[in-house]
Amino acid sequence: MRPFAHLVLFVFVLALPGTARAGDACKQRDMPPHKVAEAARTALLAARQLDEVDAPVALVARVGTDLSKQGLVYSHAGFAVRDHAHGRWTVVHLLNECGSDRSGLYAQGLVNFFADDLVNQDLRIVWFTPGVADRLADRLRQMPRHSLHHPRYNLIARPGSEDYQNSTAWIVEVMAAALADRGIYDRRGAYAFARGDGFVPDRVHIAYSKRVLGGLFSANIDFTDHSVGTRLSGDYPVVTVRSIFRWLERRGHVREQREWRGGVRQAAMGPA
Amino acid sequence: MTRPIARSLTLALAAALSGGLALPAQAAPQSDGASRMSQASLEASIEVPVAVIHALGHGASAVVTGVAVVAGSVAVTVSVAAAGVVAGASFVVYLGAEAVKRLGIAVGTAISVAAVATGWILSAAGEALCFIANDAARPHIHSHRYGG
Repeated sequence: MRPFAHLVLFVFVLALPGTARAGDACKQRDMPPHKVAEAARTALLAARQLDEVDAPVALVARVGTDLSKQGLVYSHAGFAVRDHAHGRWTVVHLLNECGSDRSGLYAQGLVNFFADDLVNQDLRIVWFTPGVADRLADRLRQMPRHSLHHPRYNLIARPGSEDYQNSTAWIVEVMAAALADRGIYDRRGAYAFARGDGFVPDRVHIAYSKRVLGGLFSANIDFTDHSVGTRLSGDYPVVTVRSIFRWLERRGHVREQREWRGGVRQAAMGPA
Repeated sequence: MTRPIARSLTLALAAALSGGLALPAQAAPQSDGASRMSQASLEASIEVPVAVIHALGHGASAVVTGVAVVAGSVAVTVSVAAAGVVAGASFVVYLGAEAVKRLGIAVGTAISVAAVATGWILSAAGEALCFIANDAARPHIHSHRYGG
């Protein structure tokens, strides 16, 4: 223990991983203390589950946005890595920064992961088959090396887009790299592998009127990533958490899943 | 290695507190787009002396022992002490000036301490001021951005 361990000092630390977050979209937002306490409770629940299963990594999904109108439940996911350099269970995930067209890769604690002004504290944890899990954990522990991260963010990035990437697209590409029995170190190769392995993007309908009148103009949404035909139809292919779950389940990459809704462990997996 | 100072997440007044908490770091907001899929996470944290955690774990009471205006917000020093625990300890929470005025926070104001499963919620005049994580939750609070 360091010599000044018990000094009564007040040290205020910015845990901000980079404070250069200029722009109106980066205004401070307050989190009620009870919501942080709830997030901490979910974090401890998740940590207990992760400890129970002998696996180096799992996929953890959260409900950060109400996507019920799109028929979706989970909006975001990250990889929880055991004995990561930053903590026993550290979530490695891609985050859009301040509503901008940029993203960063983050390694965060489970409380941070669940304290993000979420719709609720529902969660699903997906464990992978052992070989996949080992390769994935190795890859994640090497981050940011071979990260497959592309910092230009688009909320509705076209699956396979080389110009943009969002959180879920990054997960698919990293998963693909881990699934492959050969080294994949480029995004195009990773997505091609995922498609060849049976990954099918979801489709989300965003009507033209919604685009124009619904306020869906912001720095982190670029519809032009999609073809004119897609934009006219309003049916956008996107990588959703649901599409990732379906892929992993269908291809037999899932070893086990556990889910909580309203704080209650579910006997069977619900809609994703 | 044991860290010299216990880290606790201390967060934010409810939105009801106009002006809110002027913590130096906060959640990085996101688009509210209909198909939002990611969100920058909460990143504000305060480190408090390990003695604060120790005292809270022994049923400490808390009281405001200092109020100072700092860069447009108000630094409220909260001191905690528990019976049988020799050393008291303090930490600082930054509040908005309006909140401080409305809640009547001044030196001597009693702060209520409510234990929850993952730590403590400290309140004044019935409104929550901050959450402080306990030893179980604290290891799960950290944030690192690759590449700085």
